[in-house]
Amino acid sequence: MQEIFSVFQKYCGSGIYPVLFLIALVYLLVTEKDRKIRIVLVETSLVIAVLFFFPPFKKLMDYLDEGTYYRILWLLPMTVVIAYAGVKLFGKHHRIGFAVLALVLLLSGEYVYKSQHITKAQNRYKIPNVVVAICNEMMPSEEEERVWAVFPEELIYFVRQYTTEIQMPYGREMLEQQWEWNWDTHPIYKIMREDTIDIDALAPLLMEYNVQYLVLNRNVPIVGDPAENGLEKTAVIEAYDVYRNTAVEIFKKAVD
Amino acid sequence: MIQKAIGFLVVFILFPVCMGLLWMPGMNRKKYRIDQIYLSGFLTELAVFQLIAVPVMILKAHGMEILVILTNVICGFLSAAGVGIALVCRKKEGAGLKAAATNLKGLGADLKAGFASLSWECWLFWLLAGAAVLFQMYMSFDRASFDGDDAYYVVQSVLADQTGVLNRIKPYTGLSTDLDIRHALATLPLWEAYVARMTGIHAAIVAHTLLPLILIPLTYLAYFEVGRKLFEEKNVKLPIFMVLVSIMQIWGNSSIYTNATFFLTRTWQGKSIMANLVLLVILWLLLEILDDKKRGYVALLVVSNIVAAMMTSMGAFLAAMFIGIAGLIAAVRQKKLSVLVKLALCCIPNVIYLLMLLVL
Repeated sequence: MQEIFSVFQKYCGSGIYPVLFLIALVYLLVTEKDRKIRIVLVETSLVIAVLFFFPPFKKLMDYLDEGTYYRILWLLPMTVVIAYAGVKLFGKHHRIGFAVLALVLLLSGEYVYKSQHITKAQNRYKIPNVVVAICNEMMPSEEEERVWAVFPEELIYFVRQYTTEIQMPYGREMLEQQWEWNWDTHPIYKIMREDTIDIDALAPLLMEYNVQYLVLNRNVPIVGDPAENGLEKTAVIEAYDVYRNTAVEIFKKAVD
Repeated sequence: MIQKAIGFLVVFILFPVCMGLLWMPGMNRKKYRIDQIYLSGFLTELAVFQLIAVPVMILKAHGMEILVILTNVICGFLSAAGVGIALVCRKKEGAGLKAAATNLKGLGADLKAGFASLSWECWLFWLLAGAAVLFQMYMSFDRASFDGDDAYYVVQSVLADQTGVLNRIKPYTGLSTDLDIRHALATLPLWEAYVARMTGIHAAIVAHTLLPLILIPLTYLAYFEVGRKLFEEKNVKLPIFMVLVSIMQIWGNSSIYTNATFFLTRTWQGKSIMANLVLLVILWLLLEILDDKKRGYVALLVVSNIVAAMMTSMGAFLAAMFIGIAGLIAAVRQKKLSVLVKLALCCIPNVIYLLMLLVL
């Protein structure tokens, strides 16, 4: 039960809309006369809400898809119920009613565009320009096979959203700490995530994994000489150095 | 540019409008509504894709070309059938083919008459509601929202478009892999690749820029249909309802889990479409079905269930659960088992899909 309340609390976060929803639900339960609206909006919501707090139901859901229990709350039509109950409650005083409810919703809600994950788009791909520029720098020509490249972790999410011509020995699965079965298991990542990157240790691994390109963040210190390890700097793009690993050739596509 | 325009026209206008006509005789014989035509047609297009994509994906690893061809052929056929059925039904009712052809024209006149009869206050609230939707569309275009899941779903679309391979390449790395059936049965990423192929637009741009411009107004169209069932159409309460809904979407980011957060930060992902558009459409259809016995709405509920399965691995389960609970309550309240049976039959696609998920 504790776990279910924790899921509910996480879902609600800092907002009071779920509380408003419960109030609206009680109000409609008392006042709603239209049978179809009662059934679909009110009574169905009540049953779903009760089911959500029923531990055996959570066990069943965990069996089907663990970690997504909060999605049961998606079935509660909160926006529809709150707005409908509000409008119904205003009655003829809809202007003042609207103003009051709108104000409550505005003041108690969280503005979505204030989210730290939302930024001004740099292009229509909605991928950082620097990723596009680095990928274009190492993009194989039409007669060449796909290339392998190692990127700093902040760029990993975006690379293959732009092009699948660039492959990576590890990707997002290495970055998500909650995915314990994957996280922090790749030997190249173990070096790349350090505060100082050891080029002497990295270079043999790049060869072992047939990696043709290495991208390093210039703000992360390195030890060892890239040139001595066969890494030739081909470009500097914003805060990143792009190296070509000359020890691994770029293969030509087989002619049909 | 020509490919973009033609592809857009076919996928987002021609197919949805013509396929939407398939359901109109069963929904509203006398007066076709362009909002219902488009919404039901769009869902039909998605459901048809899901029905084609699952077998193609299972049978053929390099199946993107055949998937695009089959989708266009079948959607083209159903579009022609939609137009044909609409014409024939109108003729049967004695209106004649000419009258049938002018039915859509009549929609413009209806809208004009409808607007003219609105009070100034109604106008004001509708303007506010429209402005709120336009604002959300603009922000979806102008802002970028980071979500780690894109490294999986958007890359699946890019892979299908750029390599023609359906779900047999690890999105994170590029290495070959077996079919990951749990994720693959929800074929929305392949549909986004299909849109990319049809329009010639990069799949990441389709997902991040193009689709929000379609899905945001489409979701509000579903809210409008729900609102129409709750209030009288010309009543000022309907636009007030729409404005309040917009406020709750824009200010609903109280946690990363809410429907509203998914709606405006992950608009292009199946989970978001499920949590918002699909569940809203099901809500609307339940209100319609419990109101009268028009078969078109029941058929559209089946279509919505197929679309739910297309969106996320648990989509079919969530949709069936919602419909099942509403059906059970309706059967008890109305003392009619037939309601439950009818709604349960609508969930057959969900059962098949869940069995596939468990067995494959």
